Amino acid sequence: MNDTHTMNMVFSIRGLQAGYGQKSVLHDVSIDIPPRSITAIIGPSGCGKSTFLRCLNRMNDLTPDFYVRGKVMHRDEDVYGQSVDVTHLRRRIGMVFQKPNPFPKSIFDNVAYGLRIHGMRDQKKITEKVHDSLVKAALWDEVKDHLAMPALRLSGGQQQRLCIARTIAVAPEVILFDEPCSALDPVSTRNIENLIVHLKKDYALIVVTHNLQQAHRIADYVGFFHMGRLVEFGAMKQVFEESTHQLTRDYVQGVFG
Amino acid sequence: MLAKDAVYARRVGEYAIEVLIKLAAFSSIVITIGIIAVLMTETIRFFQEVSVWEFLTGREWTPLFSNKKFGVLPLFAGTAITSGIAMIVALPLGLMSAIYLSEYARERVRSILKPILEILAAVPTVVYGYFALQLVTPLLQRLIPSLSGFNALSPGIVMGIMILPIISSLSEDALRAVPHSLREGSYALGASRWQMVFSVAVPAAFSGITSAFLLGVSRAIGETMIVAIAAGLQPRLTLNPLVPIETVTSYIVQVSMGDTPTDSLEYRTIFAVGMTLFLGAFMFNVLGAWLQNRFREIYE
Amino acid sequence: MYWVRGFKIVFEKFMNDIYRHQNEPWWVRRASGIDQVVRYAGVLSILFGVVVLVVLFGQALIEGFPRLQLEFFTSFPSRIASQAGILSAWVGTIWVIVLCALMAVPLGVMTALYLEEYSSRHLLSRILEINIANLAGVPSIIYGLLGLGLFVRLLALGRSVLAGAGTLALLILPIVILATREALRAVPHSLREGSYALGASRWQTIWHQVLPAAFPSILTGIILAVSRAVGETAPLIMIGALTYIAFLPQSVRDPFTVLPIQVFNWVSRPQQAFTANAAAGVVVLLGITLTINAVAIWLRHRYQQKI
Repeated sequence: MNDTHTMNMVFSIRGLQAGYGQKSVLHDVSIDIPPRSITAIIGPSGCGKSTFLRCLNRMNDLTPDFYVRGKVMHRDEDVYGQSVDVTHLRRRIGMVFQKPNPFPKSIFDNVAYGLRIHGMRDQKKITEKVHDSLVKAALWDEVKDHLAMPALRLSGGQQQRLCIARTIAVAPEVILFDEPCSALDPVSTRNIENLIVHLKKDYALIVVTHNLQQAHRIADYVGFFHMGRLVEFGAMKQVFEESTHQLTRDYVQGVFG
Repeated sequence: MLAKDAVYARRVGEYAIEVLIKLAAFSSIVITIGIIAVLMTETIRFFQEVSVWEFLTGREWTPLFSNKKFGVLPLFAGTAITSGIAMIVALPLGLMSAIYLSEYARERVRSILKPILEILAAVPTVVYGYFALQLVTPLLQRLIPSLSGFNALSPGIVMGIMILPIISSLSEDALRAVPHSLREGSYALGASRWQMVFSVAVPAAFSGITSAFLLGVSRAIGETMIVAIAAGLQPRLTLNPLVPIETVTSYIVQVSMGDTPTDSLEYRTIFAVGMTLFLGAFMFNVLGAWLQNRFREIYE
Repeated sequence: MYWVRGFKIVFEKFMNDIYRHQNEPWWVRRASGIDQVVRYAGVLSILFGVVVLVVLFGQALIEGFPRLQLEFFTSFPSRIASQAGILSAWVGTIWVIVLCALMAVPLGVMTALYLEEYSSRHLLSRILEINIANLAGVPSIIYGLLGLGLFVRLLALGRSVLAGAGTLALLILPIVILATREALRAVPHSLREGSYALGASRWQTIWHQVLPAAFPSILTGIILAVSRAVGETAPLIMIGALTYIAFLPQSVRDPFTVLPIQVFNWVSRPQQAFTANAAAGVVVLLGITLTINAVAIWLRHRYQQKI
C-alpha cells in the first residue's frame, strides 16, 4: 500500500462501502492491486472477501438492493461510473467461480461463447483462439480430440480449467478467482494452483481463498479481511511472517478462522 | 468503427426486445380488465331493466319464455346441488388417495399411481358428460328407479371424479409439507401409523387441505359441459338430485346455442349470471390461495 | 401370466397382513388392522379413478366401434347418423389449435421471461403474479364470455376461427406462463452467472443459455396447455362455433367447428343412432388427448434424466 505508482495499479480502490438492503458487508476498504501478480484475499468466513471480489467486476449488480459507495478505479475509470458499459467491463475483468459452472454445451462452444457474444464471427479466428485458450489453461492435450464432447462430462478439475480457458479467451486483463479449488480434490487443486502461477506473467490475478497454505504457496501479495474491513495488505512474506497486526498474526497462526 | 456500430446496433436491438417483453407481460392485466369490463358493461345494462332484488331473491328463472321471471336462485340451486354432490364424492376419495400416496405408498408405487390419477384430470369434460349421460345415469336408474333421465346426481358424481385428482394432488402436497419432526414425535409415543396420520398429519395439513377443497369447489361451480349434457335444462329451485335442473353454466350454454338476438335483455342475462359465477369462483380462489400461503408460512 | 403372479403376490400380502400380528396383544392387532383398512381404502380410492377411466374408454370403444372406419374421418356431419363424420371437426380443431398456440406461446413465454429475468420483484411484479394466478382459476366459460364480447363483438371478427383461436389463447395463457416460469426457475443461477461473468448482456444470457436449458420443460408445458385447449368446448360454443358445419374453413375468418363440439352435438341428440357416433368421437378425442399428454410426460421424463 506504499506504492506511489498508482497509475500502474490494476485496481485502485478507495473507501469502498457495500452491502444489500439494511445489511452492510464492507466498510471503508482501500486497496491497490498490482499488475502481473497474484493477490490473495484471505480472512475468516463471512468477512466479506467474496463480496469484495464481486464488486470488482460488478457481479453484485445481480443481487437485488445491492449498494456500493466509494471509488473502484480500474485504469483511470471508476467501475461504477455512469457511462460504464458493464458487459465491456466484465470482458476485461474475468471471473472463475467456486463451483465449476461450464455451460451445458460442447467444450469448444464453452470457450467460443465469450468470443461469439462479443461479436466475433470469423470461424477460423474463433477456432484459433479456442486452441490458444485451451493451451494456456493447460487443458488442450486432454481434450484436443474431444472438442465436441459435452463439457459436463469432464472431471471437476478439467471443468474448472475449462472455465479458466473460456475466461482467457476474451483476453481480460484481470482474472478474479472465488475460492477456485474448494470444490476440487487435492490433485486438481495443485493443477489449478500451478496454472494460476503460470498465468501471472500475462494477467493480474486476484484469488479469494480460505486455504492459508494455498495463499502461502502462490501469492505475491496478500490482503487480510476481517468483518468487512481490510486489516492488512502487503507482500506475502510480510503479512504471513512479519505482520504487525495482532488480528493478522492470530488468523495466520490459526487461532481463529 | 464497424465494431462500435455493431455494438450500438446490438444494444438498440436488445432494448427493443426488452420493451416488447414488458408489453407482453402487461397483456395479462389487460385480459383481466377485459373480463371485468365485458361482464360489467352488460351486467349494468341488465340491471337497468331488472332489479337486483328480483334477481337475487326471485324463485323462478324463465327469461326465455313469454312470462319472464329473473330470479336466479334456481340456477344457484342447480349449481349448488351438482357441486355439492361432486365434493361429497371428491373430498373423501381425494383425501384418502392423498393420505395413501403421502404416508403409505412406497416410492415406486407412488410413481406409477400418481400419473394415473393425473390422467383423470386431463380427460376432456365433454367425454365426462358423455360418460354421465350414457353410462352413469342408466346404471343409477337401475338402483334408483325414480331417477329421471336428466338429473343432478349423475353429473354430480362424474364431476366428483373429475375433481378427485385436484383434491388429491393438493392435499398430498399439503401432507408432504408437514415436517417429519411432528410425525416422529407421534411415533415416539407409540402411535401406529393411522393414529399418527389422523391425529397429527392431517390436522397439521388442515389449512392446506381446506385450500384444496376450496379450489375444488371453484372448479366444480365453473364446470359446464358435464352438466350441460347430463343435467337437463330445466331451472328448478330444488335440492332433489333426482330431477332435471339447470346450473348457471348450462344456462349460459343454452342461450348461446339458441337464437337469442344480441343486445336483447335475454342475451344480457348470460353476462349477469356470468358475473355471479366469476365472483363466486374468484372468492373461492382467493380464499384457497390465501389459505395455501398461510399454510406455507407456518411450515417454512 | 403376469396377472396370475401379480394376483398371487397381492393375495399373499393380504393374508400376511391379516395374520402378521397373531401373537401380539389385542391393541397392537387392532392398530395394525385399522392401519390395513386405511391403506386399502387409499389404494381403492385411487383404483376407483382408474376403473372409471378404463370403463369409460372401454364402453366408448365398444359403443363406437362400428363407426370407427375411414369414412368417419373423411365425412362431414349429416342428418343421417350412419353417414355422419368428423371431417369438419378435426380439421377445424387443427386450424384453431395451431392458431391458438401461435398466439399464446410467444405471449406466455415473454410474460414469464419478464417475471423471472427482467423484473426486480417489487410491487408491480407481485400484482402481475397474483393476477396470473387468478386468471388460471377463472372458469373456462367466462373466457367464452370474454371472447364473445371482445373478439366477436368489439373486434367484429364474428364467429370465426380467429375469434375461437384468440379465446382459447387467452384461456391457456396462464398455463403457459406458469409452466414457463417453473422451467426458467429450474435453470441454476450459476449458469447465468457464468454467462454474465464473460460479459454477456441480459438478453444474450437469456437467448443463449437460459432458454435452451429450459426448453424441454417449456415444451412440455406448452404441450400440456395445447392438450387442454383441444378438449375445450364451452368457450367455443360461446363465440359461436357451430355444431353443424358441412364445409372446411378456407380462411381464418370462416366459421368452424371442433371435435368436442361435434361430440357434444351428437350426445345431445335424442336419437339412439347418434350415440354410436358420439362414442366414436369420444374415442378419437380421448385418443388425441391422452396421446398428447403421454408425449409431454415422456418428454419431461427424458429430459429430467439428462440433467
